[in-house]
Amino acid sequence: MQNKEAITQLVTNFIFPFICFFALYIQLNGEASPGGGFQAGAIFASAIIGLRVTGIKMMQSYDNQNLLVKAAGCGVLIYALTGLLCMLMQKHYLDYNALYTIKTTGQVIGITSIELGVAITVAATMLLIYNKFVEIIYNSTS
Amino acid sequence: MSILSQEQLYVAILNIICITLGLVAFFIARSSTFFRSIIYLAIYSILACLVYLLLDAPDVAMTEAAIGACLTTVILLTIAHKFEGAVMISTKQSSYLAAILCSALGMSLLYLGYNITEYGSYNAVHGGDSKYYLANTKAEIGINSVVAAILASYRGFDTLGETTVVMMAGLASLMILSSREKDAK
Repeated sequence: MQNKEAITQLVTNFIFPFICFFALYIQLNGEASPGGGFQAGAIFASAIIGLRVTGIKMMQSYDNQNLLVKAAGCGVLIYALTGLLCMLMQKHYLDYNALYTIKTTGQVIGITSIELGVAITVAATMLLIYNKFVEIIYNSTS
Repeated sequence: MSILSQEQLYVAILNIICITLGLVAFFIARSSTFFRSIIYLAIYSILACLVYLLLDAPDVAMTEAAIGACLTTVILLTIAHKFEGAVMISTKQSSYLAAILCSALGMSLLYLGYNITEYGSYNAVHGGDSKYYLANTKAEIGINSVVAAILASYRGFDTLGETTVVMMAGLASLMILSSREKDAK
C-alpha cells in the first residue's frame, strides 16, 4: 500500500459524486419534501470537507478564501436581487406574484431562486470556517 | 406487556431519548479528556436529531445532523489532533458553584416547561397564524410543503435576514481568527 489512508481515500473518492448529487436533489425538491437551501448547502460543503479530511488533494480552488467570501456575498445578493426584481414590476419587495402572469408559477420561480442564493451562502460559509481552522491549526508552530 | 397505542409509543421513546440526553450531558461536563467530550457532543447531536424527527420537524433534523453531528465534530477533531493527550483539570471551588447554578437553571426551565401549551394545539404562542397558512398555502403559493412556503414566501424577509446572519458569522470568524495570526508574528 502506498500510504496508510488508502482505503478511506478510495471510498471517499467513490462516494463524493453521490453526496453532491444528493445535495442537488434536496435543493431542487425543497418545495415538495423536507429540505431546501440550508440543508443542501450544508450537505455539499460536507462532501468537500470529507475530501479534505481524508487528505485528498482535489479541488484546490475551493480553498481560495477570496473566492469563497465573494461567493457568500453573491448568495445574499441573489436573494436580495429577486426581491428587487419584484419591486421593479410595481409590486412590494419580495412579492413573488409579480414574477409571472400566473401567480402560483411566479411564487415557485421566486422560491427556487432564493433557495439557490441561500445554498450558495451556506456552503461558502461552512467551507470558509473549516479552511480557516485547518490553516491555523496546521500552520502554527507550537 | 400490553400493546401501546402509537401515540403512547412516541411519548415513551421520546422520554427514553431525553433521559439519555441528560446522561450524555453529564458525561460531557465530567469527562477527563478533550477527545472523549468531542465524541459525547457528537452523540448528543445525533440524539437531538432523533428528537426533532419524533416531533415532526424533518428539516431541522437534517440540518442538525449535517452541522451538529458532522461539521462541528470534524472541526473539533482537527483541533483535538493538535492538542493530543491534553487533560482538563478543574478546581474544586468553581465546580460546586457551577453545579448549583446549572441545577437552578435546569429546575427553572423544567418549571417553565409545564406551562407551555400542549404539543400540536391551535392555541400556541404564535396566535393561530398556522390555521391561515395551512388553509391557504395550496391556493396562493401552489407548493406542497407548508414549511417551505412559510420560510420562503410568507416570511421571506426573515429568511433574508437569516442568510445575512450566516454570511456575517463566517466573516466575523474570519476576522477574529486572522487577527490572532497577526499577533503571533
